[in-house]
Parts: sequence; C-alpha cells; structure tokens
Amino acid sequence: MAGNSNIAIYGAIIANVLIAISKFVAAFFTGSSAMLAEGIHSVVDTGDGLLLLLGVSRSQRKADKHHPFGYGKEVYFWSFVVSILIFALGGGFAIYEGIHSLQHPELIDDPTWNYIVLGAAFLFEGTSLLISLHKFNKSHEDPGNIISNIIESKDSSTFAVIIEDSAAVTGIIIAILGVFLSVYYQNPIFDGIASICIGALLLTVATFLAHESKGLLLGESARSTVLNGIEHVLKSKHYIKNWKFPKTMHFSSESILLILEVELTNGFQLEEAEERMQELRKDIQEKQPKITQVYIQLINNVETTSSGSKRKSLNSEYY
Amino acid sequence: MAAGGSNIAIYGAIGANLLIAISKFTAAFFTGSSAMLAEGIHSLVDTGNGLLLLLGIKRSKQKPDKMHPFGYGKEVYFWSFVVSILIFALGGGFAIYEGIHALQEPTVIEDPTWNYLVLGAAILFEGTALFLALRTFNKSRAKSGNLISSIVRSKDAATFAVIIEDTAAVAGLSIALVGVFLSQQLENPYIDGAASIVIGALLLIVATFLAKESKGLLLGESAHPEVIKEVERIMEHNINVKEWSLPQTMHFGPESILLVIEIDLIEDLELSQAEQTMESLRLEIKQKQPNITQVYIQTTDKLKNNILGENPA
Repeated sequence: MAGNSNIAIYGAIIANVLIAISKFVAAFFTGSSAMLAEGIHSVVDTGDGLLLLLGVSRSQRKADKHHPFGYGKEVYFWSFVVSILIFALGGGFAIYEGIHSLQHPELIDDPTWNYIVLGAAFLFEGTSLLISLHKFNKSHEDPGNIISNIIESKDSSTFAVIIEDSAAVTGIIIAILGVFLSVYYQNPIFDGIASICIGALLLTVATFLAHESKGLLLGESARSTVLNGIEHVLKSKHYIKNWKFPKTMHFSSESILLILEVELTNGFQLEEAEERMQELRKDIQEKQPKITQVYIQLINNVETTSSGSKRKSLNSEYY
Repeated sequence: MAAGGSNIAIYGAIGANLLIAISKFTAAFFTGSSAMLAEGIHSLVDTGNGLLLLLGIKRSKQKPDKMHPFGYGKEVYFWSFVVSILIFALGGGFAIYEGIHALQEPTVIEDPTWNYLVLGAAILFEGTALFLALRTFNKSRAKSGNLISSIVRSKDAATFAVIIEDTAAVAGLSIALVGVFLSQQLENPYIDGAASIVIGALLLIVATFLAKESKGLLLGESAHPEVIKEVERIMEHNINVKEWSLPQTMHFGPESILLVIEIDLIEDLELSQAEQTMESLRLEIKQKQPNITQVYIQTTDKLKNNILGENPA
C-alpha cells in the first residue's frame, strides 16, 4: 500500500520533470521569458513530489520517547506543506502572470511551440493522473465516487497527487483554449484571462488539499467501515455487555490507534478477563489489519449511558 | 490559567503590531516613502498572525466529535505552524527583497527623523509586548532551566510563537536602527540595504525554528519527563500494580494530554477489584497531573514488548 502511493508520486515527479524539460526547450528556441518562468514552475511541482516522498520515508521512522505514537503523521504534514506551495507558487504565480499579461498584452505570432509544450504537458500529466487514479481506485471498494473517497481517504500523499494532476490537466486545457482564442480572435486578452482562471483553479484545489491534510494532522477517526467492523467483533463476543463508541485516530493511511472501553458480563476472574481482552485485541487486528495499536480499558457501571440497553454501543457522548 | 496567559501574550502582540502599523502608515503619509508603506502592510500581516493564533485557540476548544474523537486541541499547533510560514515568506522573504532592492537602487536618507521616530515607537511597542509575553511565560514554566530550553520543551505553541516573534522583532528593529544611523553617519546607503537583508535572514531562521517546534507538536509529542515520572510514581505506590509499560503520552494542546498505559496487576484479584484499582488510578493521575485529560489503562498478564524497548524494573 505504501508502494501504491509511491508509484503515484513517482509518476507525478517524472511527468513534471518531462514537462519542465519541454518548457525549457521551448524557452530556449523562442526566447520567451514566460516559458522560462513556466519551466521553473514545473521544477517547483517536481519538488512537491520529492517533498511527498520525503514525508513517506520520514513517516517510517520508529516511535521514540519524544514521539511515542510514531512519526506516521509526517506524510500528512508534508502534504500540507505541498498544498501551501501549490497555493502560493502555483496559484499566486499564475494569477500574477495573468495580470501581467493583461497589463502588457502581447499577441502570439506563432503558437506552434505553445501547442507543442501544452500537448506534451497534457500527455505527461494525463498519464500520471491515470496511474494515480488506477492505484487509488484499486484500494477502494466503491471506485465510483472519487470525491467522497478522497474526503474519506487517509492516504494524503496519494490524494495530493491525484488532486495536483487533475488540476494540472484541467489547467492545461484552459491554457490551450486561451492560446487558441487569442490567436483566432487576434486578441491577447484571452491568454491573460486563461492564466487567471488557472490561478483561481489552483487556489481552490490547494485550499481543498490543505483542509483535508489539516483534518488528518489534527487527528481523524477511522472510516465508518472500520468502525462498523470493530463493533461487529464486539457484538460477536457474548462476554461483552456494553461498550463506548470506539475512539480511533489515523497516524497514517496504514496505521490506526484504537482505544476501547468495554464492560464485561459479571462473574469473571481477572485472569480470565485479561485472556478475553487478549483474544479480542487479536480478533480486531486480524479483521482490521490497519489497526496497529489497540488499548482496551475495562469499565464498570456505565451509568453514563442514556440508552441503558444491553449490547449497544454507548455513543451518547457524541449525540 | 496558562490559556489565559497565552491570550494575554497574543493580545499584547496584536496591540503592539497595530500601533506599529499606524506609526508606519503615518510616517508613510508624511514622507511619501513607499518603503514605509510596505513596512506598514508588513505590520498589518503581523497583526493578522496574532489573530490567527487567537483563532487557533478558539477552534481548539471545539468538543470532540465522531470524525475527531480526540478533540480539536491541535488546532493551536496547526495555526502556530501557519504563522511560522507567514513569518518566513512575508516577513523574511519581504525584508530580503526590500534589502536587495535598496542595494540595487541606493538612496541616501536625507532626513532620518521619521525613521528614528517610527523605529523608536516600534521598539517601545514590541518591547512592551515581549515583556508581557515573557512575564506570563515565566510564570507558567518551571523555575529551573534557561529560557530557550523552556521554549523547546514548551507545549504552549501560541505563547512561544508570540515570544519568538516579539524577540525577533526587537532584534530586527535594533538592527534597522543601527543601519539607519551608520548609513547616515558614513553617508553610505548600502548599509541600510544590508541591514534589511540581515533582518530578513533573522526572520527566516526564527520562522524555521518556530515551524520545527510546531511540527513536532502536530505529529504528536510526548508529555514532559516530570509528568511521566509522576505517573510512574503513582503506579509504584499502588500495591495492586505489579508492572507497567512506559506510559504513552501525547499532547493535544498545552493543557490536554492523552495517556495510555498497560499494567500488570498482582494475581488473585477479583475483576471488580481490578476495575476499582484502575478507576482509582485514573482519578489519582488526573488529580495529580490535571493536564492529563484522558487516561486509558489496559490490564494484561503479559506486558507486550514495549515499543520503546525499555521496561521499568
């Protein structure tokens, strides 16, 4: 699974390196400073991919005294940093370029190089997007609804790549349209407007990405399917009388902390109870392998419950 | 208490930056200097940083919900990190840009009166803010140890963000004052530009330090060793507890710690006795370490190999 997100990231890095090369070649032959700036922009995008790889590799460090729950969240942290870079250097830069070209409009004489670069970029980004989508859909039961899968996803480095690539492909289409309309109507205003639209798109996308990685950094619970799986295990144990809503937190896409509070049926010896708990931990981790740490606290007299009904989770805290 | 403390520090910083922004805009109005106008905008951004920290504190008080069952405490750390990025980009980057610009097109300062007035007022305001922030911070930190190591160990990201920002501001203003003075005395406009670049470098360093501190807290930092020792002492004193794993702790906010611990109880306890023991342990821990807001104790007859590779004797 970690391999999955790495493939998506490698795809994005390669695409951006190739696009940067196309842009620099075009800048060399046309002497266009805008194309040079575009090339630098693609180098920054390549850097984003490297930052995500850095996050993935740093997240694999072992837990230590200062970070007893490990470094899993490094991935979420670096995804957030990438979102800021897309916001400032992607969105801000495109809007700046757009305003600049509206103030000093220049007619495109020969759009051949523009079309070549944009076509190549479309090809590379499109391939990278297909690779990452393919990997992402494989890891989801219901590949139909990509947006809600992304919102629920805990694999921020993969969805960062998907979001970045989708925005890039959309942006390239807008850019092609802008160049085409500028040349067709002999009016450079379309080119500038296209740049501003691309900038606005990147700002929106970066905000969405920042929001998603922020939630994960603060500590997001496991998906409802995982929670249902846990409750299913709890229900199947006859010796468990009651339990509170399972508290979970993702430390990375593949590592969840689970804290359970359960009440056993009466008449247990401590040793028996401990054995049962051991069995319960094993069962949960077997059925939900992403749960890497389970803590079960035994509680007594859960009068706090409003329902009072047996064998029902005590969700009263949240409702 | 400390929450109120960090609020005082933040309000002090906001007030100082607002007053400095006004001084700079006034100077810009009377001198027509565009650099002074840009400086005023910069102070407005600093004011915005204070507001972001307040936003973080407010949002961190949201109740836990299904999606975030451990609460929103880390909002403070998140917004401190955002502030560090803003200081880096808009503070450091902007000052270096201004410095390079001044080196490329050096202009001799003819009448430095306004510069001295603004810089003097700014040192006064930032100094007051720094004094307020330090006073609240000193009250809450342990008496021993120096200030820097206290900041490194502190979990109160909003307060140390303000202290770091204010310290950098006072140092930066002193550098600016020296720059203007030497430029004037030696009739060398390059010194002014160089001062700007030094200030920029200072802000970049400070922002990196702040980012690193808030990053650690965001990823999940453990509690202070004293807190952990106190928990172990409580375990030691309870006759029903035989062995325990190293307590796993994580700060969700300056005053909110999650603790999970595995214990091995002595044999021959009834289940209900065990439950009572754990309940009283929980109460005692929360009472002696009120910052530990969530305690989960798991009993086991075989302590699993501790992730940290060290078991208590």
